[in-house]
Amino acid sequence: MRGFIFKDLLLSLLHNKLRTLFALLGVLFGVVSLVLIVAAIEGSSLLANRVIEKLGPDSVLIISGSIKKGPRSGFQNLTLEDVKEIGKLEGIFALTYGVVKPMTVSDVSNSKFTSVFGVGENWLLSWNYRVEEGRGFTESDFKNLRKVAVIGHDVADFFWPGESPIGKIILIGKVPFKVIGLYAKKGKTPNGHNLDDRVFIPFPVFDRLVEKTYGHISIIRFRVFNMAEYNQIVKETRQILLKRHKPDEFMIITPVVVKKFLSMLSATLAFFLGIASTTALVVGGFVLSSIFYINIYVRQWEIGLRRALGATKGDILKRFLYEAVVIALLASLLGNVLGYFAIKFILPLLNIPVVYPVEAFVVATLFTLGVCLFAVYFPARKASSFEPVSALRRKV
Amino acid sequence: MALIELKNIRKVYRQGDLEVEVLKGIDLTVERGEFVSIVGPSGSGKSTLMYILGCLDRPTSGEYYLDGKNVLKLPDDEVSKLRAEYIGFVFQAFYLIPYLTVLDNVLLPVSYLPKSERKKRFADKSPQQKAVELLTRLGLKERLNFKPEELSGGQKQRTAIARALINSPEVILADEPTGQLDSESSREVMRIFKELHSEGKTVIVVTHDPEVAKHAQRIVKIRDGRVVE
Repeated sequence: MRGFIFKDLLLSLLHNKLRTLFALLGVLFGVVSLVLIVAAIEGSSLLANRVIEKLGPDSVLIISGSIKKGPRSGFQNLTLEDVKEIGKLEGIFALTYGVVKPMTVSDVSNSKFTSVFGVGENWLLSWNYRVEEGRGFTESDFKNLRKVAVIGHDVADFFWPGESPIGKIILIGKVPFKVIGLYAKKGKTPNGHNLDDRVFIPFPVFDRLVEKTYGHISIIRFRVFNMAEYNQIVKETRQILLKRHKPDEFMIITPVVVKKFLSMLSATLAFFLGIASTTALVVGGFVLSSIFYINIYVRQWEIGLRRALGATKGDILKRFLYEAVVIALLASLLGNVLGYFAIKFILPLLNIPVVYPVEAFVVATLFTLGVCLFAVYFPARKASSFEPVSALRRKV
Repeated sequence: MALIELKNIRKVYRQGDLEVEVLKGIDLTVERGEFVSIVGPSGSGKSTLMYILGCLDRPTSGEYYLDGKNVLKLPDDEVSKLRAEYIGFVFQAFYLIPYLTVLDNVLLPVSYLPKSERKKRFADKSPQQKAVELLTRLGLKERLNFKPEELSGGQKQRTAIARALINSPEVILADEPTGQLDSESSREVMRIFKELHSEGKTVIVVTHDPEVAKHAQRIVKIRDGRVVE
C-alpha cells in the first residue's frame, strides 16, 4: 500500500506540473547559494591555511607600506640598516631581504614583462626556491657584484624554449646578466601571483645597475628557531623598526596576521552570501507556501473526496507534507548539481580555491527540507481542516 | 439492531444573522440489506441528510447510531475510519481523481483503511485482484488503465461504484448517482444497485427523481426538512 500512496503522490505532482515547477524554481536558488556559501567558507579557510603554509608558520615577513597595497607597490621604506639590526636578534635564521620591480627584460630578439627581484643572500633558501639547473647565488657573487641571475621556468621557456637557459644572457634594463640558475616550478601563490615568472639578481647589483635604491628595500624576511620565542622576537623586531620608522611605514606579517586578515575576508563573504542565500530560501519558502495555498483551494474537492473515502485530517496533512518533501528533495538534487557548477565556476572568480565539501551539500539539503516543510505546513494544516462537505461542493 | 438509526436529527445553518433550519427533526432507521431511496425536491434537506448519514457532516442536534456506534460522540479520526470501513460513496459528479487510472481510482479507498481492517478484508484477495474483479463485473475490464477523462459518463459512474465497493463497506450511499447520466446509463446504474441489494448490500440512494427512487424497496420522502412518508 505504501507503493500505492507514493505513486498517488508522484502522479499528483506530475499532474500539477506547472505548480511543481514553480515551487522547485522558487527553492532552487536558495539551495544553490547555500551550497556555494558553505563551499566558499570552506575554500577560504583552505586558502588561509595554504597561504600560511607558503609563508611558513615559523616565518616573519616585514614589508614596506600597508598589507593592502603589498610589497609590489614600490614602497621601499625599509633599509639595509634594518636588516643589520634585525640580524643581531638571537634565535632567528634565514634572514634575507629584497626589493622588486616589475619591468621588461629582453634577449637579442624578444622581450618580456616580468618581476625583477634584487635579493639578499639567503633569499632562495629562505623562500624554499629549489635550484633545478645551474647554481644559486654565492657570497662571492655578492662581493664581486657579479651580473648573474636565477630565473623561473616561465621566463626560461619564453626566451629559450626547449633549451637550457644556463649561460645565456638577458638584458635587464640595458645591463646584460648571465643566467646561472633555473629554479624548480612553484606554481601560483594562493592569491594568483605566478611564482615561476620571476628573475632574481643580487641586491647590490640591482641597487647599482638596475635601479638606484640607496639601500632601500621592500621586504625583509627571517625564520624563528624556537616557536616558543616567536611572539617575543616579533615584539623585539617591531621595537627595532620603530626606532627608525613610523608605524605606518612597515607591516609585520605573521601567520596569525594572515589568518586574521583572511578570516575577516571570508567572514565578510559568508555574511553577504549568507544574507543572499537566506533571502533566496525565505522567498522560495513564501513562493512555495502561496503556491500550495492556491493549490489546496483548486484541489478542494479532491481533499473532500479523500476525506469521504476515509482519510483523516492527519492523512491530508501528511500528504501535503510529503509533497513538500518530494519537492524539497528534487530541488536539493537539482540545486546540488547546479551548486557543484557554481562552485566550479564562481569560486575561481573570487580567488577562492575550489572545494566540494560534503557538508555544503548536506547542509543545503537539510536546510531546504526544513524550509519546505515549514512553508507547506500552514497550507497543509489549512487543507486538513476543510469541512469535507463544503470541500466536496467545490468541484470545479 | 438496525444498521443505521437516526433520532431527531436537526441541522441549522447560520448565514450571518439568518438561521436556516434545513433538517427539522428526522427519525430514520435503515436495516441491514435494505434498499432505501430518499426523495425530495431540491432544498428539501435530502443532501444534508445524506452527508450526515455518510458521517461527513454533523447535525446540530440529535443522535446517530451506525452499527450501534454513537457516531456523534466519536472524535474526528474515529469517524474518518468509520467512513473508510462502513460507507461507500457514489456522487453525482463522480469525483474521480484525474491523474489516477481507473484501477488506481478504485484502489484509492484501500489506502485509507486502517491496517488491521485492510489485512482482514483483503485476506483472500489482494486489493488489485479485487479491483480488477469489480471492474470486470461492471464491464470496465478493457478500461483498467484509462484515465477518467477518457471514459463516458456511465463508465465514470461505474468506476465510482467499483471504488465504493472495494473496501466491502456495509452501506452504499449514492447522491443523485444518475444526475449526470443519460437514461440508458441511468438504468444500468440502477440495475447495478438492485443487483448489489439482491446480494445483501445495504443501498441508500438520494435523488430528486421519482423514476429513480421507485427502483428502491422503500422510499423515504423528505419535504421541508421533515420525513413526510
